[in-house]
Formats: sequence, structure tokens, C-alpha cells
Amino acid sequence: MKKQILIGMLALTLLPGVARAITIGGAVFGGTSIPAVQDDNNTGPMYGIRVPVNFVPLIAVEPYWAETNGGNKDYTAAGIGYTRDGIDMSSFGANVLFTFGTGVKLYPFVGLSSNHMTRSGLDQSETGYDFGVGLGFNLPLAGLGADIRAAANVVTDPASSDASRKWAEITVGVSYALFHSVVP
Amino acid sequence: MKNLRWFLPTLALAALLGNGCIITSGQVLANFALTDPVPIPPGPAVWPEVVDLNTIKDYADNRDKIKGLSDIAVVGKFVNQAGGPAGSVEVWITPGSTNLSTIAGVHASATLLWGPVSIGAGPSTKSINWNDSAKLFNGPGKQILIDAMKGAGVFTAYFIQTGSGTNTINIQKGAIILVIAAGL
Repeated sequence: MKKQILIGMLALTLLPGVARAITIGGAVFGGTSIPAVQDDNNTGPMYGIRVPVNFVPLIAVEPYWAETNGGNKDYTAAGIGYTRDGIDMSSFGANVLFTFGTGVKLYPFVGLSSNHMTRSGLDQSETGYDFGVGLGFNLPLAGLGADIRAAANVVTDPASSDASRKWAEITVGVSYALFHSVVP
Repeated sequence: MKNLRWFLPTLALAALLGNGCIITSGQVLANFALTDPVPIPPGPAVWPEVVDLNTIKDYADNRDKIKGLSDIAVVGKFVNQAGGPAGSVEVWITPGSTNLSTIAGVHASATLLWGPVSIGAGPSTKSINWNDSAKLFNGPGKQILIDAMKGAGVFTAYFIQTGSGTNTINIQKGAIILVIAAGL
């Protein structure tokens, strides 16, 4: 998975005739992760860091790390109530962002990730696919920006490669341009 | 470049949707209520429980779309009667409806599914919750259960005491909880 992500990042740097500058930033984000069609898992908080890298105008590659704490699920069986721990997940991956607009920017994105899921009786890593859309804008301080994103994270179900676990993720982030270099 | 920004995310999303449609799946909760109570006799006798998953609506509704078993638990209150020595309980499994009558027969013809779970000398009660139970499954037995789920939906669970128990151990309000990975 890490190899695929690195190859994808490298491929973007090789797009012909468009390289102008490289900007590397750092970002922190937090929000909520909402399981979709998962009867045994519940909504919980998520947070993480991103490193947006602009190799070409209007396209950014963004490695990230995220931590999700799944909420517990209550269920009644044979008249007794039970609580199942939610699924906690550590994710590492990279998204590719396609930016539209200036000022307030709209950017759809897609990505790949490796997701380590844990709870009692579960300790497994699976591939995930991300896609979503974000709105970003500059804050009144040089290099500082903020964004809000809505995304779907589709991760292969450890029980079957033909099924998936899905989360809708709503996050708010703050970023800062750490490094900028113009390429002649 | 503008076209590329729309084309790539659309292509990625199309690839995901076309990838065996793993996105159109979910995790469905179902439970099978065991005989109440399940009277687990002292060895060499056993308690057979024929489980017909077709009697569970959530299973029957998804039977032709099952892709795997995402989670499972055997839950209930395990009650050791007064005077009974400390002991432990295991659950073994055979496909279909069978009628083995002794522990030796179960060991010879069935596969360990779950356990052991220990219980103190009577009178004592031990509640087995979902999180504790999920850790006690045995891979080969779980695979037999998955195969039964994907097949006719019938298996036999054998509840046995291990050790030198001379007393009946009851499981009150027992159930088998299943989280089925199924297509939508």
C-alpha cells in the first residue's frame, strides 16, 4: 500500500510541462466519523495530520495519518442488553486533491489508505478508498488556511474481500504552508 | 488541466464502483435465541442445540447476499448450581443437524467453535458479554459456521463441560449474535 501511494505521488511529479513550484504544508484536522450500514459500530471522533504537497498547479498530493475512535453499539439479545466496543482505526494514506477556484476553493479528492482496525476479537489491516469534497479558504495570516471536508472512507471488510465497511467523515482542518520553492 | 481535474476523480470513483461492488454491502445484526435455559450436563453427556438460521428474519432476508461473518458472540448468564465444582464450558459445531450424545463423540466428529469459558464453584453466575465472547472463537469452527451461513443455514452447536464437573451448568437467556457481511 505504501509503495502504491509513493508511486502515485511520483507519477504526479512527472506530468509534463506543468511544474511551476513546490509547496509543502502541514495541517491538523478533527471531526466525526459516521459508520454507514454498520449495525455493530457507531459514530465517534476522528483526528489526524495532513501534509499537503503541491507539485503542479491546482493539484495537490496529501499524505495523511488519521485516528478514529468508533462509538460503542448497544444491542439486546434474548432479553439482555449488551454493549459492543466500536471499531478503532488507525489510517495512513494519501489523497490527490483537484482544486477549483481562488479565494474560496473547492476541491474534490480521491485517495488510497491502509487502515488498521482494532477491537476485542479484531486486529487487522485492510485497504481503503477515500473520496470526497472540501472547501478551503485562506485565513488572515500569511500561509494559514482552513478547510471543511466531507468524505467517504470505504475499507475492505476483514470478513470478506467482497464486502466493505464504510464511514462518512466530516472534518475541519487548519493548515500552514511550511515551504515554498519556485522551480525555474 | 481543467478536464484532468474532473476526469481523474471520476475515473477513480468509477473504478471503485466497478470493483466487485464492494461499496454496496453492509454489516447486518442478527441473533439466535438459544433454548432457555441451556442445561449443560456433566460429562460424558452433552447438550446439542440445532440452530436453524432460517428462523431469523435478518438472516433469511439476506441469505442470498451473504459475503462473510464480520462478528460473532455467544452470550448469556452462565449459572453453576449450588454444590457444583468450578468448571468450564465449550461449544463445538457440526454442519447440518446432527445428534452426537457424548463428549468423546463430539471430540471425534465436531470442531471447537468457542471457549473455554470458566465458571466458579456453585452457586455462582458469570455473565458473558459481547466483547469477552468475541475473543473466544476458534478459526476452524468459525469457518464451519460461515459455510453453514452461506449454505443451508443449519448447524448443530454442542455445549459441553470440560473437567470433572458433576453438576448441570445452565445458560440463562443465551443467544448467538451474528454480524453478517451482506450485499445490499
